[in-house]
Amino acid sequence: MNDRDVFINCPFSPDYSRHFEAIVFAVIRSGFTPRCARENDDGGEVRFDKICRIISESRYGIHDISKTEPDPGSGLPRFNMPLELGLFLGARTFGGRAQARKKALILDSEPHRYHAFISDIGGQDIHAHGGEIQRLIEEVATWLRDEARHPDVPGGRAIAAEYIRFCEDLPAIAAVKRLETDELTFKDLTAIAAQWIVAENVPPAAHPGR
Amino acid sequence: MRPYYPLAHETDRDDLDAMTKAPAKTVRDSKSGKSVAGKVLGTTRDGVRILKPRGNATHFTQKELREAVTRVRAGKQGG
Repeated sequence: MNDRDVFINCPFSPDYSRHFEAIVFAVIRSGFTPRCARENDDGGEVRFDKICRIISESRYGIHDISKTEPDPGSGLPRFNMPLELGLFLGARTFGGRAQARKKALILDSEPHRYHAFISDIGGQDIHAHGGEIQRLIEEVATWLRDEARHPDVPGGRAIAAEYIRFCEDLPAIAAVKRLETDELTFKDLTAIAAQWIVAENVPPAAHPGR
Repeated sequence: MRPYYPLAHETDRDDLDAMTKAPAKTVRDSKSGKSVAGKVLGTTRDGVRILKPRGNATHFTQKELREAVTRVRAGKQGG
């Protein structure tokens, strides 16, 4: 298990893509490595096995259960997030001494909404983001800073402000390879975000001519 | 061409160039103590080590990525 790996459990639907990017950005900016089921396209690995492997390798998990409402097309709720949250909590409970060190951040849109559909996780600390990207980043960044015990990691609002600037630059960076932002893969997104964060936050001594 | 150092005339030291360079520092994981050198992409001005993401980008080489980010940020700063 890697102490810097953060498993991200959230919807991959277009209506959540900006939220997903925001979580990825906040994780990288806080000095961690984001992991998710989209990180490779190995068709030979069964998706469930891949998720189990990533969970076993990640010490931290960020689980957003806010998008569990029925799908407009099928009328059925999305169960993947609760399932993967259960896997993560199960690994922590039954996975032995190493896996017992796992930590989970559970996010929902409202503070007590989960009682209505997943009440068994009562007692866990559920964080609400109200569907707002800035609050989502603040929750993720604050939690990771506390967990990492790294006082140098900037506050959530500062990271959210950086994320807005990143979003302004992302289309132009993608356009260099004649891509739209929704064509970027998870590996593209993480590589661009990490490179952009380093360039945006160059230490003063590294600036030429100073 | 050798850089100009005023003190060099007085001390007659010819290794001042080397003395201006920071010593190599091994970055280690706080808990395991294992070296994470090669896994750190860079350190921000506030001291956070930004880790290299797992795997390579699908559509960019590392060099292309660095150049694209630099070009876009420079274009923005230049108006």
